[in-house]
Amino acid sequence: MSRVHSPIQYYNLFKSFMIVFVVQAVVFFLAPFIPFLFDTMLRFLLLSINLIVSAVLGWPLYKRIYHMTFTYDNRGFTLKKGKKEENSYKWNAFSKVSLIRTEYGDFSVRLYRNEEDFFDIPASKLKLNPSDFRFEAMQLVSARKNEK
Amino acid sequence: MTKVERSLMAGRGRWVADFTESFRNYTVNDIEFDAFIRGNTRVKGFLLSRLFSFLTNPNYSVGCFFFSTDSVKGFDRKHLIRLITAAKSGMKANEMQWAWLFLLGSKNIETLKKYVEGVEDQTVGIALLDINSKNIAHNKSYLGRQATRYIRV
Repeated sequence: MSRVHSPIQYYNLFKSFMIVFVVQAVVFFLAPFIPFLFDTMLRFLLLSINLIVSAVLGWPLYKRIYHMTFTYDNRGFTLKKGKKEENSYKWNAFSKVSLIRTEYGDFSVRLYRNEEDFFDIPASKLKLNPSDFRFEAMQLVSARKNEK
Repeated sequence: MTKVERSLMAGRGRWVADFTESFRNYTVNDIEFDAFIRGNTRVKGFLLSRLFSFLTNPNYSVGCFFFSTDSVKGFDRKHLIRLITAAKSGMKANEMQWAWLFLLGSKNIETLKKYVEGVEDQTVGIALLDINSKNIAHNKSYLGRQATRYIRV
């Protein structure tokens, strides 16, 4: 039975919101109707519109670029990031498992094919317990390796 | 083990090096260490800390090998020497400049303490972590003395 992890990453959601917000803010500041912005009411209205549009467009942007879905079962796993990037592997493609701390303080589980070639599963970002998931991955890798 | 691993990777260990990667059941020369944690003395950070680290810290690869002595019946000096030899091989394979060997145990601590304190080898820092009393004994090398400063049971 496959398990799916697809939590909302609030940092990336906020980043998407801010991208839309900043783009709109730049457009407003460069727009030819800038003299009207001296009206306080109009400024508030534009800010409100900007915030609403950011919220409405930020979510699809987040889903399109950042949202991660991790699906795994005994045979393999699929890590999907956004709409385009999708990586699928079998556990038996890997020989070694380690736990790594990234420079941002997140933990990932690193799966080695050989010393140079590896694939990282961002356990912290997927709200998986990095230590527990590392042991689970070790079991899956060794079980599949023995079946090879 | 998980607690020690965490303290090295995200706690006090960061004062010595940036320990970024941890392996469990790590095998060197037919000896299976319970854990192997590796890193670098040059800390990666943001702008100022990265620059400070670049200017002040040496660029050394470092690693810690962990072994539970309770898993071996009648752990003696010969076992310790085999572990030190394996740690040195691991050090060479990972091109490390500094390495520590941590022994975790709760049985025959006084005997083990004598073995560890009697090790003259200067290339590997060796420390014995008593799980019950939380005391730490180390060998006479510089690295051994340093180990007590950043490891907690």
